[in-house]
Amino acid sequence: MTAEQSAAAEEIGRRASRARADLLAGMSHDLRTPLNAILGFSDLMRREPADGAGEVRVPVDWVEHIHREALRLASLAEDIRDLSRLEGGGLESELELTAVEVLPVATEAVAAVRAFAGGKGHEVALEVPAGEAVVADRGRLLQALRTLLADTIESTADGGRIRIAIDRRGDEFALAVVSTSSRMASEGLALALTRGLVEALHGRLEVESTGEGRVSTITLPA
Amino acid sequence: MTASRPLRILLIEDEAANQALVRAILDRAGRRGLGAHVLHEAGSLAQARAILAAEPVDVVLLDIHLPDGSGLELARELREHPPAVAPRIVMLSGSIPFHEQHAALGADVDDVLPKPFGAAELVGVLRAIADAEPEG
Repeated sequence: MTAEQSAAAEEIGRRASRARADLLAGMSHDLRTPLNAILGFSDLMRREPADGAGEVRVPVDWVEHIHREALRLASLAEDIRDLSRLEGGGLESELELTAVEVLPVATEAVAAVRAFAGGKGHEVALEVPAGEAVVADRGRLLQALRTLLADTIESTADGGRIRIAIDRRGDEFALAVVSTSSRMASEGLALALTRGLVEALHGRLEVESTGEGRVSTITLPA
Repeated sequence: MTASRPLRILLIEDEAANQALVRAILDRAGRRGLGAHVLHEAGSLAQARAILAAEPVDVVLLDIHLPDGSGLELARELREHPPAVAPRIVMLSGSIPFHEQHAALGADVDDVLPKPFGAAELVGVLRAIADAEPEG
């Protein structure tokens, strides 16, 4: 190995460990947000005065918040499991790569996050024509798109606009999720999982900040 | 602080559950000895700037990760160009490392409340600010 090659290898190693540290920091933030709400509301509940029968009356929305945030933690746990399986290579043997029409998958992904998007007053526009297909595993493509959409919605200010568009570039398709006023996400669990899934499908994920918002592009073979 | 003027609080937080939590804590804060207060809420830096331009605020509860940027940007703006009533700035932090907390504390922020925080911690910080306010 030449000196240049070994310097390049060292740089790749440094970048990988930095990416891993960023991911762990992002995961810690992902976990702490729902945990903060669960701990906070349950702490308030146990400090409410009990009646003679030892029962406590609390506002319904406190209980709803605890439940919703606990579901979020459960879904994060699933994401972590999938990410670890991806890294161990356990997922690739299960993949079934076929021609998958994009529109029904994108429609399903939007439907899965719709309630969540509506709650933040977001408008989600699907600009994918019928008939366009990529080579992918349908279930994993859906998971990648759903994860990316949920993350985009979460990082977009209330009342924002999110657009999903598809563009053919040679023998590839670029599926873009474009949002207004979205922060540039630190590489949290959602982006890491999306990237891992897309790379397992022989594609790639690029996320860029446009000043206005964020453009995340999944590129897959046509 | 006299009872005549409520403590004016601006919460800048984009997570609905955490907004609701602060609201709930403040709703029960009378039991912990916090006097009258008014809560303004912003879900982004842009909304926060609009409120700060229109309303005098005594204390800003500031999240770091916001849809349109970092809460630290706003803290710096408020230090460099304070409004007529300069608010105390309390950073609500889920993820900043310890050395950055120190940097933030020294430079642009009066206090840091690490997440997860409970009612006692938040009310404690607000009471200290209310008690330090000049009379009137």
